Amino acid sequence: MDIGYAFLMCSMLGILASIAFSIAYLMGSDTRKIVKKANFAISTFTLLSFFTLLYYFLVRDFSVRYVFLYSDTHLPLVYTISAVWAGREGSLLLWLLYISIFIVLSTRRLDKLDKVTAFANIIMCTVAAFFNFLLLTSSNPFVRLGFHPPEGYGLNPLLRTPEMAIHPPAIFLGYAGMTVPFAFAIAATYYREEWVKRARNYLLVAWAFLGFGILLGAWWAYKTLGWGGYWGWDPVENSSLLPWLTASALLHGVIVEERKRGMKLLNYALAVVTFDLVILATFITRSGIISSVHAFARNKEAYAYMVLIVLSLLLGLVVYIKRKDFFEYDHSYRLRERLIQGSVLIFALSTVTVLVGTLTPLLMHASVTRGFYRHIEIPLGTALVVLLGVCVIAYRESMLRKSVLHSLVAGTLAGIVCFVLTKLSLASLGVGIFVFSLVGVIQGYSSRKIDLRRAGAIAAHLGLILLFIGVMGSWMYESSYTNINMGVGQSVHAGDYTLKLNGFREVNGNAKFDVVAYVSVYRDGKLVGVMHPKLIIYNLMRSDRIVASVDIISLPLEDIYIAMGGVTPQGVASFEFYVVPLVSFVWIGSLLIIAGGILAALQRREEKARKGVVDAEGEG
Amino acid sequence: MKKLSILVGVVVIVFGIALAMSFKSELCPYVTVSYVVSKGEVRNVQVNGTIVPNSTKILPNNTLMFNLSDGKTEMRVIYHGILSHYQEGIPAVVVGSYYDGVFHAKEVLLKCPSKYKVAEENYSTSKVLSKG
Repeated sequence: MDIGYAFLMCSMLGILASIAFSIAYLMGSDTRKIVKKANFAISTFTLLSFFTLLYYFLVRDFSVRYVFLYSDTHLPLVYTISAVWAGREGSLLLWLLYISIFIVLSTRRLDKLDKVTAFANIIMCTVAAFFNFLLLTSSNPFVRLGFHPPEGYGLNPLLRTPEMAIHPPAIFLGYAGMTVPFAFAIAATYYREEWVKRARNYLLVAWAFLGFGILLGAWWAYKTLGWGGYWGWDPVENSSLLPWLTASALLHGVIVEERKRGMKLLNYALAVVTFDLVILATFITRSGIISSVHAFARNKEAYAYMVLIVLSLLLGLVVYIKRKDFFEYDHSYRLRERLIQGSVLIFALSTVTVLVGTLTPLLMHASVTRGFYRHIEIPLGTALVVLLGVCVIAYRESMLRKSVLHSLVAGTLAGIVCFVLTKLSLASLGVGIFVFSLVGVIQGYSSRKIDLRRAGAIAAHLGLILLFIGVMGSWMYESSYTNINMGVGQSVHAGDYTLKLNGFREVNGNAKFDVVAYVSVYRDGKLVGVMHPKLIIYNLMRSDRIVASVDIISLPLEDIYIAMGGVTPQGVASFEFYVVPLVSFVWIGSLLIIAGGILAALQRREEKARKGVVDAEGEG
Repeated sequence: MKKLSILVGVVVIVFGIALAMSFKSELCPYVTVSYVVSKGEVRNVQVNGTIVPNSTKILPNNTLMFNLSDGKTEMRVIYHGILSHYQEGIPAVVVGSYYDGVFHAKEVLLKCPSKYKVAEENYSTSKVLSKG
């Protein structure tokens, strides 16, 4: 038996022990210390197993099938490490590692290890057991080939970028983190206690990392895939967006719950659904099920994932039915709470739209095009931004009318100015809405005390507004010139720009060689820059060993973007050229949203620290 | 309270109608070559097949014509644009409409339907360049 596999089995024993002793605790015996030790053992053994796999990669032990499939002798160190999570088995191991760490963290304080935590621990350990079981059976990363190949098959060249090295760990941290709110929502509700305070921080951190992972994926797609876009509504992209949307809804619903003790049922449901979407996403991302419709019947793991999703939904339903009275609350909401509920509704409708589109290939013999998502998601996103502009000033209802009027005037003026300048009606409407919400956010927050949590909200909301204008610019006003052919010395016009092919150069590297094209880009006769789109040819036995590398020049208001498709035997190179307006707003906006989550998560620590001081003073 | 429920109800209904309409107009079924050819005219579909060897014609204006086969039937495909990874004999998915006896492809996905993987590049590219 492989030592890594043995560690996995030890981890499984730890999980079973933790579950057993948690049950014993719930039945009356004080087994808390053993539970803690068992949890510590789970994460230690999982970590050891993870390091074993990493070790096989570092020593290039190609007799391990997984190492053979995802690395080769030329692979640089960084990408050799990131190759650990390049495939299904390694990703699941990473999932298990994260959930085991979250288990230790959320049960770390013995004095806080009450019945709720013990029940939540059982739920989290069951999820860990699920992934451990997959790793021990159908997704074992330690399978040996039976012989020792001198060279590996190699990591997919498209994954050899810094973004793709960190994208999976970020996403899976988000996925695993969503297990904590789910477990605590169920467990606390069962014992008629509040779960939000216990799980809020995990929710925020998971949400921020999930967002960060999605952003890395989008940035990678933009830089690598060469179609001038960053979001293709691909099933894999969609599947990670789904839990992010429901978690966003949950973060807003939680505000109402904290203040009004309302929306309990909806938040409870959102916590359960977010977890189920995380499982669905893990499954979709690592099974390739959607890209190949017929994979479902052949993929044994498909049924296991379905069972986990159904079981968790059933658990949620049973606890709800048993504790129905716990969800009752008064409906005396004020306007602000109503508006927050509106945002939750928009998030929910967005989720439904993405879910319908993503599952279509599974349920029907068809798929939907990008237009389907855009027709629905653009109006929903716009509604969300407008709602935000009103919502942030609605905390003082007496001032609401005046403040909205200010925003309206500012927005209308901006829209008119934009129309006079550009003559684009939709863009002007977008700019008007952008300014309307921006002025709203400034008015809403300027007169209030700002702590970390509120600073997080400001960052995230400003981020959303920037994201909105960035998405509008880049989706509605992108110009694409996909049909450019140039020989050396020739030039071609593309919109306001003129491109000239100066020549080629070949650069020989260790494990690859690059064909670099030198393309000068002019605007109004002036040189904007020389761009270097590349074809990278890797020395691999893989069939996908040739990769086109794009070059991008970011100007303040637009990106110019070029990709080389190939070169004909006559020396004529084909290029795709894109002008993408306002795309930098997408990156800045997304980063602000993520930063908002991190800032808000820091708040409670500060609170705790302050509380700690007070306690200490009290004792003194 | 009642007014609000009505408002939410209206929003959800409007959303449902918009979703259904968008779904209907943007749905793109997977069909076989045989089905397309037997129907004679089909709009907005995805067809899976293999590019038939020695069937490619490259016309001026970056127009590409080739035959796609599902093992039983072949159909002519026409596509405007560059396919940098184009090769005969490999699987392809074409997205578009079939009429006048030709499949007019809006998109051609080579080898693997996921854009996350790059299809095999024609060897000639690197050979030509290394000769200078």
